[in-house]
Amino acid sequence: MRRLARWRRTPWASILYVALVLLFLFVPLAIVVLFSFHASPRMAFPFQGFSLRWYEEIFTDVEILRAMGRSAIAAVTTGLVTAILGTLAGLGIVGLNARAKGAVMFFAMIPMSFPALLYAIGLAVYYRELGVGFSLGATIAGQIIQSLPFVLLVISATLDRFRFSLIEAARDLGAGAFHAFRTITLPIILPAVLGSMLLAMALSADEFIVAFFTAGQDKTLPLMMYGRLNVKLDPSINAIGTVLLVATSALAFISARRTSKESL
Amino acid sequence: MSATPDTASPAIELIGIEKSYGSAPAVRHLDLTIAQGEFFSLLGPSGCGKTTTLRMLAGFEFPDAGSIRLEGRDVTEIPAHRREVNLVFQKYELFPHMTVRRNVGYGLKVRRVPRAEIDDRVDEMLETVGVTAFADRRADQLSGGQQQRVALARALVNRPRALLLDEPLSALDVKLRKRMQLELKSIQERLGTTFVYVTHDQEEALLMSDRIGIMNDGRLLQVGTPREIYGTPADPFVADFVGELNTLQLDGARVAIRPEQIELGAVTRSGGRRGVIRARIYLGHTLQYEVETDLGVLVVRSGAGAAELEPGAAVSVTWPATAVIELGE
Repeated sequence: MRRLARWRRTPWASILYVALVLLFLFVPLAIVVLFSFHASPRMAFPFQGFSLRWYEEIFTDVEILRAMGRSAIAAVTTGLVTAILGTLAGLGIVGLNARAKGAVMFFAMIPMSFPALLYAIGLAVYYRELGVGFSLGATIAGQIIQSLPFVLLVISATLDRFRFSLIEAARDLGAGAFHAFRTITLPIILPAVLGSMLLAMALSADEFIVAFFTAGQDKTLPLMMYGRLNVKLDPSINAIGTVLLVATSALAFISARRTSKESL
Repeated sequence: MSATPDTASPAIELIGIEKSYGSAPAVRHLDLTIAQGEFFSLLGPSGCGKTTTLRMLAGFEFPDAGSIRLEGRDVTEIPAHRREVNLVFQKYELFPHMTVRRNVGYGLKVRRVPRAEIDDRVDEMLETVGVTAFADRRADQLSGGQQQRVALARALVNRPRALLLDEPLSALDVKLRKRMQLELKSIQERLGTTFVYVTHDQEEALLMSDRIGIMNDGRLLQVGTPREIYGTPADPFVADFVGELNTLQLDGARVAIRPEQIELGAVTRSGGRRGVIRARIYLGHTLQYEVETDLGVLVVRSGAGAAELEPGAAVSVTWPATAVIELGE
């Protein structure tokens, strides 16, 4: 009986389950990070010591640095534009009745559920027909449309909880419509806006498919990595991957912190 | 006593106000004049049109017909942010991301009052409502009672021509509510500001108001001092809404008598009606009896200090002639 009670107290099955999940999720990532510090170009065990040579390589490779620059531009632009569009759309939607709101949200969510590959191919055909060609700008436009649903979801959930009677209070105290928005609505929803902006930046930074079909010569970092892998298993890829991992998870982490702080 | 309301120069005039939402009328032909410095309550059950009336005064709703005057000036079409009245909301609506001080200073800052003057007026008003100690706390870290005071300060600091209050005490517990009723009244008397107070609590209205307007179903049924409303209600709804009543047929007329105005005495006394105590309920500060008489069962209340009568006892039931309220048809 004693033994049974103790067995019940420690949920071994749950612990094992969580451990397996973490193992499968994070071991591949850990391997990439580990081999980015490997002294030898061999991507296999046994491990032969630590070195920063792959980092040195990528930070002196002009092509990689350019790709990093493009990815940074894409991420920042996508983040800013989607945050602004998402906020405006959210403010427009929040005042609608339930039925109209449902319809608008349904259409706004389509890019999220649509197969990215088909979307990217369609986009490429469309760009060519329009004659705008392939460029970083073309990729950014595609990424904005792709990440807008995520931003809109976060912002409209926040606005659903926003007490619009606060605006009435501000109006009553003499504030015009824009002043009330600037001093009341915006500061209160700002954590969610910034959080969703960081989320859009992270989505853009490791976006591959749209960039693949529309970037043309303006290769972003994920495209550059893919190109190198096609040639040979280049160990500097591990270093690029680690940089990208650190950047996007930092964005995602700050984003989560921001959006959860807002609900306090 | 309060500063005598100056009826010669009305603070607020509502003339022939009509308002409906779709086909549902909310306010029907309302005429009302509120004097300078008056504590005026709009009293009625929920959905009677009192809040709609207040929101029209604030400039959040606009009447379909009729006009609103503020100190003689027509403000019917002027929106809330340009109307010199302020509203204390039922749920306070303090700005959660600002300190108490910034909340209270918001209206002055919007109106571009100089910084130094804002500070002085805010400090003074925080003092008046007794929240100086919390001045630098965030508004969302305050208790209900404190938020209530801050909401009051945030409105009053603008020196509005009238302060509108939408059931401001309904979210507080009974004890705090009682204290705030007295405090609100004393702040109003000190500042001499015209208060328009919306409530569904008749006791609150009777306690605080100089005059009360009773509304039901979009209509203003009676306007009068608490004494007039309670003592000579204009119709059965008013009579019933501002206190409990025994309604009965007396000499062929329908009349009402308030439970606390009926006296019970020994049967030996001459005059009065015969009755028998059917039930006795202890209410703390009063005793309530149900007395069976030839007029039906009457509810009678007496102070808890009075001698208790046992159920089954025969009594003589009397009331002063002034206690009889004629109800008409």
